[in-house]
Amino acid sequence: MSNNGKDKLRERLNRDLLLFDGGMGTQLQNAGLKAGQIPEELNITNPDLITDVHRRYLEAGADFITLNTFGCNRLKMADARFSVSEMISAAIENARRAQKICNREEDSYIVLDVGPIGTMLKPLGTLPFDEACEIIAEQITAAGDKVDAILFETMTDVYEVKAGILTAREHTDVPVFTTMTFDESGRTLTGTNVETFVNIVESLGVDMLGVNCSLGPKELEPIIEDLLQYAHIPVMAQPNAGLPNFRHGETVYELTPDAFAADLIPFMENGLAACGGCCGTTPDFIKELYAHRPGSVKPRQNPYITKVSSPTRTVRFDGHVIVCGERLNPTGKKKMQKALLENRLDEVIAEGIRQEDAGAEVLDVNVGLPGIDEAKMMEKLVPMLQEVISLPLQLDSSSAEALEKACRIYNGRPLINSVNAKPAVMEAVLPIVKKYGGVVIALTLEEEIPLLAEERVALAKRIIDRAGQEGIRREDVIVDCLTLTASAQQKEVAETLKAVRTVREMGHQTVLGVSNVSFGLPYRALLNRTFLSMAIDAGLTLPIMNPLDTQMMGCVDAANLLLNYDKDSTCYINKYANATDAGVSTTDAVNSGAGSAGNGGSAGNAAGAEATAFDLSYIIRRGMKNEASAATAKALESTDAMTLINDVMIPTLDQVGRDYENGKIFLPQLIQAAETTKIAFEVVQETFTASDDKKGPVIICTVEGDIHDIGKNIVKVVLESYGYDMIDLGKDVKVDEVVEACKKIGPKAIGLSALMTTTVVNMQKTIDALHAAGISVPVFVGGAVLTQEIADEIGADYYAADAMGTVRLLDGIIV
Amino acid sequence: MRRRTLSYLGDHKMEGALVLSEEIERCFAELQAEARFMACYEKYALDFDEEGYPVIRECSDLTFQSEDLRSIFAGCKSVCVLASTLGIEFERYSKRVMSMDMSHGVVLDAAASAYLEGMTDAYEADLALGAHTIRFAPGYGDLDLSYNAVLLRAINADKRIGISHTGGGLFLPQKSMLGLIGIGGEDGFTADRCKNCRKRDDCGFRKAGRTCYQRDEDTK
Repeated sequence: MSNNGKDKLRERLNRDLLLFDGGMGTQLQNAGLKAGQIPEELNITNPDLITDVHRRYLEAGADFITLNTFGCNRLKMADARFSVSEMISAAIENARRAQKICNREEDSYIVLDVGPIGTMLKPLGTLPFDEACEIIAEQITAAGDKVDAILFETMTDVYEVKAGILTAREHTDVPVFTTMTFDESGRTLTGTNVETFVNIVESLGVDMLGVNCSLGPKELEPIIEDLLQYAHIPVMAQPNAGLPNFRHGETVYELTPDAFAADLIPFMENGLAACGGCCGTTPDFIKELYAHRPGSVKPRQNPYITKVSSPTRTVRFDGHVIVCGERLNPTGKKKMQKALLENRLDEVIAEGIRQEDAGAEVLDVNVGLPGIDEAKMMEKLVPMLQEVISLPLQLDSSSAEALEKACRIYNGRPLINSVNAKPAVMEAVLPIVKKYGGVVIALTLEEEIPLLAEERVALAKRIIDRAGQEGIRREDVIVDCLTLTASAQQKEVAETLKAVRTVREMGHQTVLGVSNVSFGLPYRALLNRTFLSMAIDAGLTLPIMNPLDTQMMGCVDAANLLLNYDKDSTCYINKYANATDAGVSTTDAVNSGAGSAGNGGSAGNAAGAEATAFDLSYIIRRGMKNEASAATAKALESTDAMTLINDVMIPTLDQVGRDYENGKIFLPQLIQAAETTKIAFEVVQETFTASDDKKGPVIICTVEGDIHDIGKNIVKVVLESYGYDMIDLGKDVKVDEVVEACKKIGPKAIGLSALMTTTVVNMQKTIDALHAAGISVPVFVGGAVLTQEIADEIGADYYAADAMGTVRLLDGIIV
Repeated sequence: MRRRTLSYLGDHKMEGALVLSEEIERCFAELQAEARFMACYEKYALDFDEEGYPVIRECSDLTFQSEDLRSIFAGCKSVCVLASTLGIEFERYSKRVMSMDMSHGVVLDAAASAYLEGMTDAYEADLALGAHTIRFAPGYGDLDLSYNAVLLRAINADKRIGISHTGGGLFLPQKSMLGLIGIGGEDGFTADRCKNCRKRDDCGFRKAGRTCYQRDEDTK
């Protein structure tokens, strides 16, 4: 298609109400297509049938011909008799013939139809994001410039939609349309609501978005209303012919063409840019839409609000104070540094969950540390965080490469931290922001931080203007006026506040790393929360802070109430109904450092006091996790560490293990005892100076292709409770990754887990690769389908039937 | 569902009923709030090839090379292919629980399996299938796991309720199931239902005098 043609189509999208065609599958089934047959093969085996379907839609008044390529990707077409490329080329030919027959070559458009890939992307599934992009790239390349637009449709996972749009943008400049399916709850099957869908795909630069399939036009009303309310680009809708009914063993759609049109007409008159039909609709439905379509698209003027999204949650920058959790950052945090360096990412993820539970709305993620490949670590950690945390993430790095990798793998619309006024940095970072549709934080510094507020404001303006040249909206730049340390630059603290006030008055959102203010001074918590209150008053909307600090969170909650964002004080009352001044004062002592976690004072103290009533053995047996730390510390006052481990902890665990094996207690209790001992071990370890107090290290993982990790996790926690240093590589771990980790870590043993017969094959491949790399460390295997015989067959050194069996096994082989 | 939860935790004799009951109740409350039970089905006419193996002609002559299905479906006129799931959002929730509190996570995992089974039983009962066989799933007995992929595609389970699969035949979301129910004939599979099962000699259900396909009396 010529550039002129593309521009013309884009121009028409905002002007003329255009019509799509209706269902293809229904038409083919009526023509005798059987369940399980591959409809895309018909492009080659029965081109007349496909051409005829297109012809009838064109004659009914459709402007777009959707190709018969819905499932035409290499995964779904694995059993097809023709290649993806052959079937797509034939599909285009069929559409062209139909255009010719109808004499509509000039005023109708051929659309490459791309449906769901057919399997789920990592981390919840097994398909890597980049492989999804490759699969879609094959489809797009096969169509080349012979199509007028690309339609990603019927997808239920917005991550897959992102892969599609990015790939389309990387391979072609034809218009891209995207529709997803939503159910009555207003969400896709993976939990994305309309506002989030719009925020993500609009920022990625699609030309039109909307809804298809799912339900009939009546049931889709609230979805279409939301689309029209949130979107700033053309909106389309392709409903089904009502809800399906089952009659005589067949699925039938019973809505009539005129009823279908009657339900859609109000939306056609109120902002829809295109509509058509999905399952159950026929050329008669399109004819009816054609008869009633208004001549032009009604313009919409939706306000633009800065928003960032995860796949299931959108945070609006509507003026309320939004807490960004600062704790996923190794700077000045030894525990986090150690976790990153030793690849103990479960500890990092737990820190993320704690911040979400404490009320953060966004989480900052920074992995910058000597010895860490930042780009690689971001690529690994971001999906792991997103697997369990629903908050949008703030991807934080000074490396453009790490930002690019993180933005690419991120599912949603990210906040990007950061760009500054240095020309080279703007040149490197702003195109990434544009390509991946991010919202970006602008640091008001160039070579150094200007002292005066006016100078910082001038830099903010410069970055915003430069971002504008890149096509980034001014609302999508959040300004950081930079917190200076009161101990070193006392009088400049006021300049920061002054700059925040000016930037906010200019209509921008503002961000500050709050706790920087108190470095080098005593009682940092007091300075932090005072500065936070002052900054909020000056116009701070995004404090980056420790959400586990209950005092600072209290300031934010109170501010949101006092600034009239917490309507009817609902959140405040829910959270603080039982709070007292006495309770608040207790936490002051706890939170004396900026980085320390506030434990909700009184509860923590009560647990500590109670702990003295029980001995450690009892606490382990009963799995009293909350009491373990205090009890261990208490025991260490009168017993040395090794005696405590060998005479109390290990014998107790052994007893718990025997009770489990004899059926006196059950799996949850065994795990609880193990988790409790693990906590006790951490306290004991603090008293050791040498690092040889742990047994191991032992590498453990679930093999490639397998995503079941419960068994592996249980084995891990029980081994940890026995003092083993466990390095968990996770699930669905590639063969090479296991080999690489073994070379790097030099473990004493390697544990592999697989749940299905189909993935035991990959277990064998992993063992073969370890042997081929000359690694002779003992390998033990386990999992539901494993037996001693299978273990022998695949070349494993040991078979571990369960967690307690693994403890005995490792105690025997690791000295 | 409570009995089944204990079974899935390995407690086939129900000895943990008392000590775990409170925690199991908590899991069912979480399931009510977080899981999104969805199910769909299709009915197909059933045919048999010359060796007596069941065939679905409508699905491009899909033939089930399984001794178990041959005896279960003997005399049936049609088959209902039924898939169900707790949805992907529950998956995210349970992983989160698992990473913060594993002991509770394993109970929740067992309860989720039992909940899916129980909800699917109720869904199946509502279909009023008339005379029908047990619900038999690929991966059990001698019915190969690879039938999952073919059957999911046939009933369009991906698009309808969001169940897909990995190349290895695992369901995504993991808490999903697919079963085959013979309709219009007596359950011909009365002798030894476990005879082709791989787990036969090492089955906790059998050791406790029960079977995995037994329905729960407690439908709560």
